[in-house]
Amino acid sequence: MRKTAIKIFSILLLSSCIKEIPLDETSFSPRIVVNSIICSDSIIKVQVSKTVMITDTGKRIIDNANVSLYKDGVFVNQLANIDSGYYIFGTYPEKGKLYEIRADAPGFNPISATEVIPEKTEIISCSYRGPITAIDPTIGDEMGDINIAFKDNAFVKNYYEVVFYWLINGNKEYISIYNVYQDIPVLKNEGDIDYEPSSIFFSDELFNGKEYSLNIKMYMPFSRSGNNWEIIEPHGKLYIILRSISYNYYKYRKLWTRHRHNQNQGIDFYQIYIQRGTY
Amino acid sequence: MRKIISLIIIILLIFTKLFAQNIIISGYITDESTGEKLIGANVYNAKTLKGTVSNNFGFYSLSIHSKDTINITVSFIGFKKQNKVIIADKSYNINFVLTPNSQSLKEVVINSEKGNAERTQMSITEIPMKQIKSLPTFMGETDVLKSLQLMPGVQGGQEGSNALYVRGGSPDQNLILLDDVPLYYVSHLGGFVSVFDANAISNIKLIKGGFPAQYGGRLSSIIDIRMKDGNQNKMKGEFAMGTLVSKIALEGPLDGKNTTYLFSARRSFFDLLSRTFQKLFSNEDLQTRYYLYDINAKICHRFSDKDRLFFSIYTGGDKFGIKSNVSQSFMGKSVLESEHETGILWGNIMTALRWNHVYSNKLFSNTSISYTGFRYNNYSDGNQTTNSIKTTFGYDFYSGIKDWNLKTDFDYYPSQNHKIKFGYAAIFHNFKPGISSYDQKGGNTKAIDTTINSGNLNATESYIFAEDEWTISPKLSVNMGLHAVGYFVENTSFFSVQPRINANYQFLPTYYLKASYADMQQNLHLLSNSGAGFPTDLWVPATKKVEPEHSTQIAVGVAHDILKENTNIEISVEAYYKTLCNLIEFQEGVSFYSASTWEEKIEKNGNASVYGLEFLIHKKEGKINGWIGYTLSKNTRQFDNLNNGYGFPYRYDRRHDISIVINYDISEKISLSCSWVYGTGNAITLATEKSNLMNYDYQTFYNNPDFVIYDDVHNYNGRNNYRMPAFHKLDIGINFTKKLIRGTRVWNISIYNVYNRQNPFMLYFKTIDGNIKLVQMSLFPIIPSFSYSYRF
Repeated sequence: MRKTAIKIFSILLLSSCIKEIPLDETSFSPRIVVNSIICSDSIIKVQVSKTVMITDTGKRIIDNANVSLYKDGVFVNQLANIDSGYYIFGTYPEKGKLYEIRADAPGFNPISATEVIPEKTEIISCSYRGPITAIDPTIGDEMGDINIAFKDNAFVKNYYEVVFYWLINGNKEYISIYNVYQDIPVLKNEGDIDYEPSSIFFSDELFNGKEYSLNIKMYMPFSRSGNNWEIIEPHGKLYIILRSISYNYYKYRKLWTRHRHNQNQGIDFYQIYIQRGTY
Repeated sequence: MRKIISLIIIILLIFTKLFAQNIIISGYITDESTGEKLIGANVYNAKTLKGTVSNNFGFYSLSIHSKDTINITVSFIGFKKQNKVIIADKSYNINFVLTPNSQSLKEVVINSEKGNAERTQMSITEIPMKQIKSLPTFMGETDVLKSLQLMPGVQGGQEGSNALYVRGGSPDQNLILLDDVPLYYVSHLGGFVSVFDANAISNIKLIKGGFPAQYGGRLSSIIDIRMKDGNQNKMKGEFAMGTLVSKIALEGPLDGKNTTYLFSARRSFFDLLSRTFQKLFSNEDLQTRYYLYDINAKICHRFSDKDRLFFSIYTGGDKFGIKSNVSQSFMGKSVLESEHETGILWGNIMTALRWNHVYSNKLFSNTSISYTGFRYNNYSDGNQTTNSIKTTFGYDFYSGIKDWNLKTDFDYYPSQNHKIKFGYAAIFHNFKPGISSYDQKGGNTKAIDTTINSGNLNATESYIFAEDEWTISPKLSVNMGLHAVGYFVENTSFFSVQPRINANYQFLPTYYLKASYADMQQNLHLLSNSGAGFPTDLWVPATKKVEPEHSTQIAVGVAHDILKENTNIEISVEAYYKTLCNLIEFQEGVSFYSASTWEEKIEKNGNASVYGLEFLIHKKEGKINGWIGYTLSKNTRQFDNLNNGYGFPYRYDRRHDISIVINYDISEKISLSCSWVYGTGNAITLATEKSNLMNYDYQTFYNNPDFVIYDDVHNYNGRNNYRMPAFHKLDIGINFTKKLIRGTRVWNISIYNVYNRQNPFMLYFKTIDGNIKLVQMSLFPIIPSFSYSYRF
């Protein structure tokens, strides 16, 4: 009885403080959205959709768009629509070339974006040791130790992304940033740790033109049996990807990481970096 | 240092000789009923209307030509004017004791011929304490800061909060002085109640621009609050009970009339109520408690008319905690016992020792040594006994600031046309921006004791200032000065010389044209997640990486006084333009508690430009009194890494702000007051549209296609792109006063938000019946409250 009375009182109190208010829809006009990440080891794949009001739960992909590909300003081909708003072109793009994707659809202003895939960075050495002694013995965790050495090109501003995963039975098991000891200078320098990035991306600000050795210590997976904790020996191969990335992609990764983190927390303050209308 | 002071005094004495053709009338001005000092009382020659005003300690010094016979008039709002005829054949020390207009309803009040408009200083707001106390209350408690929110140029931010946004500045940019000592966080209950107990306050003054050189260290305003010294005549007291707090205040003489004391304390009793409710309604072993408290004490001793000593102390704070006990047994045998307490507490402590000395009737000095500190603590402690093995653990987050101050200033009155103020101060700051620690002992694990985050940071700050209020001609006066500050932190020093000027020109008999320029520097930053002034905000020093904040402000205005029988109306119009630079903001979404330092978590080098127009009609006395204020303003911020570097509206950018306050003394026993406010809605960042986004998928295990499409990515048209609905509400208060045999009792009944306006506190999207809707949450519906007080 007492609990019921409290519930009724709370409902009355709270419901009087919450009300629906109209969202101004007159100022909204949908825009075309073209999503694509181009890489020299995969075919070009584009998704075309449109922006919708945040209250709109309807369809947003566009299947009747014209999507064209240009290389160094010369028309290459029309991308073929497959499904779910996807358009593809079955050739791998080349490094160092200027690619442009143009898209238009009925009822929308045309949109285009350009990008150059940066040159590959030569890896000088790469090694893995594990498990090794923990950094902080009081914590007691065992760690795997990854070292990647590479040479930064001094004449251009370079950006990098590192991801690593265990390949187990044909499946990629990515190693999350949560499982990495985060005292990595380039990671700290980016200031993104609080936003829980899903990969390590960084500029050459700390090592411009020098050889850089990136050391990553990752916590080893472990299992528990009763009171016994045991490290699981990985059964697959460890793959480490060091990717040279463009400024646009770096900026996009950075702001998307923050945006995603904040949106998940209901904060929603970061605008996503938009490069000439294209993510 | 002593040599410097001696040199200054010798120079001033030489000056004194140079102006020897004048004689000096000096002394103190006090309230007859209490013996309290009267700050800002007018003392002037009734014939020429030339004069001065009493300083913060009630001291005045008036220079007149020798061998005149003059009629000196002393006036102060709420008091009967007093005249004294003097044959000016020598210098006199005359103390004036003014009688309050206790029966304002029947009495014809002859007002002063002098009003505030003719003062050189502009952009200043003074509300008589009597008027503040008669305003409608929130939860039965008078709030001096909320009364300032009703003035033009001052906004209150979120509903219910007592944070002050003065001319577009943020709450940390207000220098809040209690008896000349800064307080860092002045709110209880997350901002709903200020720490200032109206019973202990004699005077409050807000300066929004044209800052006199004596003040520095903040960008946007000075709030100068003076505690009472204590009743000189007899012991007085007050006991009050309200919805929010109960309080007691005592004051009186200790030793004849030379020593007085003041003590006031107040405390909320939510914790006692909540315990009772929990016992009645809950069977779980869970206790929550919250309380707030404030204690003010002051002792003043008058050695002679030349020497007075003051000792004041303030402490106050909030504590919120949740305590739980868990006990589990199996087959009658205890297998788990645990106790856990988590909570937050915050508060200030301030203490000051002050010495007033009158070197001569032209030179008054005020020296103080003081300490002020603020702390915020978030803790979680407990112990657990599992199968007879006991483990204790504790997590603690501490943030705070401590200041030790030494300050001396002088008021020097060399002639009728000059009033010079100068002084110096040295401040030692100790910052603890945020320290987290965790410790664990017992059980099968090793003992853990870790401390992370930003540790101690020390800084020193010294400043000197000088200003001269110069009456150039009967129609033109200026106050010009310099404030020079040196700030030293982490082997880095910052120096700044800040010019200040106020000018006042009388272009018609009671109309004054005013203009001012002020340059300010703030060597502290406040890291604020909310911008709303919560105790979780962290005070940090300016450093080499994060330089001091800086502002410049220019203002022009016209002021007019209507001074007739029973009428004292102040009318002013002011326009201002203010720029701020080196502002900081927390990066959105970063954690207070992560291991990186605060300097890595901020956006810096922010700029702001604010401009506005303020109108005020203020009637300070009479059967019906009150004011109407209106502000038109625009407030824009810009950070390189926010909003793609473009300017955006400040969250509390408020285009229109209106306040109407009316007090009506219906009879000697009943007085009614009401206030109505209106403000443009706050600017918030709201995603109004959404779109798809493609990304590498590094987080989904066993996922071979490397790309993933996120289909609920929120898009914005810019930071703070959306306006909340407008804010408005009406509050009403009524006081029933009755004189009893041994005192006076007052019942106050207040109604907050009379017409139950659902003002927006926050907006968010919510799925209702499968549809996404924009929803507004409001905080306060109509809230009646009451308080009872008994004065003796």
